[in-house]
Amino acid sequence: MRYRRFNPTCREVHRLVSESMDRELPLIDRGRIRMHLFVCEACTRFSHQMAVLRRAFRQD
Amino acid sequence: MPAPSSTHTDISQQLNALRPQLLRFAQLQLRDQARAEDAVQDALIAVLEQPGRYAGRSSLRTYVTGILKFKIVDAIRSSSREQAVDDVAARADAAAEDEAIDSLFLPDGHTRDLPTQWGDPDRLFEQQDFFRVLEVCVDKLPAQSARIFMMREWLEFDTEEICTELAVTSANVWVVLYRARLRLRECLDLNWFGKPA
Repeated sequence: MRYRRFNPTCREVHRLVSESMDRELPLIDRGRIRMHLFVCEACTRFSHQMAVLRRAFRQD
Repeated sequence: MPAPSSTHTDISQQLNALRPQLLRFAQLQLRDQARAEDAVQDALIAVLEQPGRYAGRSSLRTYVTGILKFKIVDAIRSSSREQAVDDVAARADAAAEDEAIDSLFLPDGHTRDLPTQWGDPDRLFEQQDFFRVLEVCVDKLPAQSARIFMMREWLEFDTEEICTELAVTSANVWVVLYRARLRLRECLDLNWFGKPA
């Protein structure tokens, strides 16, 4: 999925956040996510929800 | 032979109570009913044979689930690989998942709703009821989604291993996992975090 070069949308970042849990994203994508999360409350909350969900299943 | 101690009987009873859930986990991953039952039996026997190992642990449930996890992983690895699913069906499923995901976003790419705040996970996990609700939410996932999700999150298989075992593509795995996480998020929002529908 092609996306805008420097400024991904929340839709794109949500997907990338999920994918980052399953594979190592290229450095540039990791940078994009980090920058976007810095200014985006919605995606930051989503990222936190995903972190909680992951921890919940690895509780043993 | 000495009579079973009350501790032993107590553990047996607790394990019996856990059996249905354990069986559900095993059935999800091991399509063969007999193999699922074997895995559960093996896990229960492992606990009963060495009750000393369990003593003092925080939760029998966590302990036996942990053992079951390894039994299931072993069973998966030693079984023959699955055949690739019909391509057309897989592509149709993937397209439907994409649409469902898209509906959460506005045309400009922003989220329709601001995600809820889930707070401190440590406090969340102190509550056993949370895990019960989570379990119900997993049960509600479509079978193949649940299977892939639990394979990833509970059995901790990496993407490549899931692709190999289930004969699916990594792109398919990622979108299934993303969608499963969104469903679970929605289920928890409704049934735990009190978000209005």
